[in-house]
Amino acid sequence: MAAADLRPDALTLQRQLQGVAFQAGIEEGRWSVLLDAFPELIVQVVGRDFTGQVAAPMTYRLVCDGFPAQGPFVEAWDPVKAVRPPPLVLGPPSVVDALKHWEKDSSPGVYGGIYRAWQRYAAAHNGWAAKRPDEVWHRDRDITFIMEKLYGLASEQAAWRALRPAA
Amino acid sequence: METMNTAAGLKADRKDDVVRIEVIHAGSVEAVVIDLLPAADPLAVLRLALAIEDDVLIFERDQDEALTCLPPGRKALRLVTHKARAIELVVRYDKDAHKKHFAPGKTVFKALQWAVSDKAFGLDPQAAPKANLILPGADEPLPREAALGSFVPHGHHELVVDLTLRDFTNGRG
Repeated sequence: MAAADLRPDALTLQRQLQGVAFQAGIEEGRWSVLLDAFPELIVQVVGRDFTGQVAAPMTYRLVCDGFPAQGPFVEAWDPVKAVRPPPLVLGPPSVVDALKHWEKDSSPGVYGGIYRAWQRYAAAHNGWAAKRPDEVWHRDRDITFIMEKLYGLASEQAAWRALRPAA
Repeated sequence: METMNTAAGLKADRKDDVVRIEVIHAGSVEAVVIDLLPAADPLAVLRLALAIEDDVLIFERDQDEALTCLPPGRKALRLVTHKARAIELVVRYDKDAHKKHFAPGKTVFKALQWAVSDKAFGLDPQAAPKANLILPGADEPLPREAALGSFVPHGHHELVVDLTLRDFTNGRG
């Protein structure tokens, strides 16, 4: 399929995936793309503690339909079983909170995605987007904005592991 | 890895020998993007193209030392320019303060990791993940992905911030 034949949302995402910031993140070893099959994008992010000696790889699935007008739906992902793993138990409170099970507004039983203001469904929860415009997705942002947030979660996990060698 | 033909097509639009660079100047969070063609001294070409003066140092994001040449093999780089070789970061928390020199290209996130570690305030594992760095009097924490040099204009080399444990999640901050 030629680039000109792509839907606008797919084309915009592809251009950003080939952009400097995203590619630099790959070259720096912060993240990699495991699957790129629009609208699905599966990435592995490798966070590190302050010393850089403890790494925490985490895998996420992004659904990017409507991009960039609509921010990605993001969830943790088990790339081997191809399912969302159970909620994280061993980790710092912030990461455990981000990866907890919660249900999107007006959709009982439907998982809402990563519980952070930059995530598609969390943004609408409790007026979060209005309260934290610095954290929320908007169409002028780049996919790297989401990647940096995911890198931050993985790095918090790495810092937590660094304090618990046995964890 | 499965990739789309389109991704390959977009890659093919670029020449393999081009190095794409994003530059953030001191005191700004706005990035300038430039494509560099092969040259004997790519940094000199970059300086010329972006009017970067000789006394301004160029750092790769999150690295400690100023660049004297482009890292070999790289095709995409995020750079930060600054006149200071190091920024003295002063972090205040609970009537105490810790200082440390960071390269201007170091991210707020790296500085925060240091601040909460036992090398600075030594926050416990419950408190550390809640921490953010915030400019005195500001309503929102510094974006963690930003470079420290973005908050220190040319001619300055100190950045004073507060460490806060305010809960900014779920809009409760």
